[in-house]
Amino acid sequence: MTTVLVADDHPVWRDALARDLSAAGVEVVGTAADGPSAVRRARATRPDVLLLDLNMPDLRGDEVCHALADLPTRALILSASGEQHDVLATIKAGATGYLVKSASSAEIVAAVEATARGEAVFTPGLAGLVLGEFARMADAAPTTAEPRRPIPELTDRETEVLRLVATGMSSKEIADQLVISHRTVQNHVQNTLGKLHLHNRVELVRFALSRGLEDEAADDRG
Amino acid sequence: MEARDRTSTRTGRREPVVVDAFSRGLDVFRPLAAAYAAVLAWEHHDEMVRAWLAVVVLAVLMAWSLGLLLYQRRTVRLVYAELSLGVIAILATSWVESGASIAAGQFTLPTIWVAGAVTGVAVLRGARGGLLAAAVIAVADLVEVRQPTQGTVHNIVLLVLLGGLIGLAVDLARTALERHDEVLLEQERLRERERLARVVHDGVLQTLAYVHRRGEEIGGPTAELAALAAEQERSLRRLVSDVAADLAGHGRVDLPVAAAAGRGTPPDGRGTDLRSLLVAHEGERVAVSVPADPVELDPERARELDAAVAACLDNVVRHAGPDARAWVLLESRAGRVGITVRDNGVGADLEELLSAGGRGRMGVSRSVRGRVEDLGGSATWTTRPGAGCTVRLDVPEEAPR
Repeated sequence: MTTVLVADDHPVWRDALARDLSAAGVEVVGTAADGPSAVRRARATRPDVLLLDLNMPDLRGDEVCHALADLPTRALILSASGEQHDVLATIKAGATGYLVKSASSAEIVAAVEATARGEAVFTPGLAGLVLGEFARMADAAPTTAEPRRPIPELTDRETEVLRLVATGMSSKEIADQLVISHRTVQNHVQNTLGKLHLHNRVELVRFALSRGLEDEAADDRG
Repeated sequence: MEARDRTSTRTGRREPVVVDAFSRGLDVFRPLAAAYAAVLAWEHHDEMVRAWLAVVVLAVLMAWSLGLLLYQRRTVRLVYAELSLGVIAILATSWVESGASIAAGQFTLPTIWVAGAVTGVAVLRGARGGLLAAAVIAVADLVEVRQPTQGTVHNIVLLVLLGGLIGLAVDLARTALERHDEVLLEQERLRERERLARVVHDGVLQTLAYVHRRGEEIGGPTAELAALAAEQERSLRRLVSDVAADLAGHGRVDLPVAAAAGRGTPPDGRGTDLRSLLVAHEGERVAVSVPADPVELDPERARELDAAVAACLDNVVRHAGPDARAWVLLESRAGRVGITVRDNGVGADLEELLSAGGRGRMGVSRSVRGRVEDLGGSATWTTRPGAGCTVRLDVPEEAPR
């Protein structure tokens, strides 16, 4: 059975979400009302999926994801306002999916199951953000001081798939249109996230090394 | 920039960089000027009436000058004391030199040392203090020489210039620092307001989303409430993202110091963020995806592009069928803007769509292709019956020359 931890600071919403998930046969192993307790409980219960509200007290979504980077738990973002920079920061910090809160409970349950299977849950809005982020990195590349800095690039196929996701197509529709398997579509989508995560991690390590912080960072993780 | 933010050890408050720079310069100037005065006095010591008094006065000046190297605080009392010392040294000249040599244009005992005293007052008290100090020294000079020579008048003019200009420079720097602080404060306030607004909006959005969701689940008449909540949720989200973009944008325009400080964006040259125009089309049947960073275009170009998108969406409403939904994707890369408008409607025969101008469907050819080509870009359609329609617009950000 899929295990999930629900982290949200609005009690009504949190309880309704937990109830819907339980009713759909997902095991809710805990709830959390703020960032630090989300991190603690995720470490204690090691759920398959952390259903994470972006705007929680004390720790931002991306900080929660960083703090849980060494766990196998996958983070699925659920946000009301869809504040774009926050969503992008959290996705870069390792979250593998994003849903707006206006999604129906059936959609949320399906997204939790998909996240547990290791699939990336993209809304059209998230695909637009990710495309924008790769474009930004590519545009910024020639002016950065370090010429050897590796800039992740999307393949033409990945860009094509992301554009179709961003214009509202489901994986199945994309598979039909491009005459590839559903699994291949998923792989392309996951690869784009993988490149973002990797790039973010390279940046983090570089930052840590430049400040002589690598030992402390390792201690924090441990 | 960093030095600006430090509290000055000399005056005990935040000071512009020039204040400390002037003070450091003065510290070096004083002993050198005192030594110079001593050398000049030594050269004509045999003409002096009371050489011992010259020794005493110059020794006091040198001791004061060296003492200020150790004691770093510069208070108003201290600079006035220094000014008084200068006045006394000037007046002492009358007893040291003979009347004949004074009348012949002999220098005052402290010579250029008093310029340091005037500058010291100007640095602390601004132009007004500097002019006042120069006036005090001028009066002392006039009292000392009785019959002003040309040299006396020249020296006085130079002193007044020195006190006035250095004081003015310090005044201007202080005003700039105050402006800078105000701007920073204002930015902080804006940011805090934005953060608060986000917290409030987030709460309201959550509640609306919840009403929407539960209302639909319960069904019946409650579904009507759910639809209302959904509509409000959408418009509030749009408003929030608009206001946020607006705040960010105006933050730059209304704060001239910050703009002048380096972004290099002339306030009047700021473009329109295409994102906020496109997001306004969002609704029950239209979803809009945009990048996280602004896509700024010349306002006229942004309006034309937005009108082309509106025409595409209008086509969806009129021809794609009652259940059709539409998605808009905005991309910006390497100086080009890409917009994709896709619908899942009934589709059309491509040939027929593009030749439809003759049959009353003016939308495609004029409103979309015409506009986009005027902007130096291109529009391409992909459609077939039963498979929706995708329009891809590709336009350079800058007008082609």
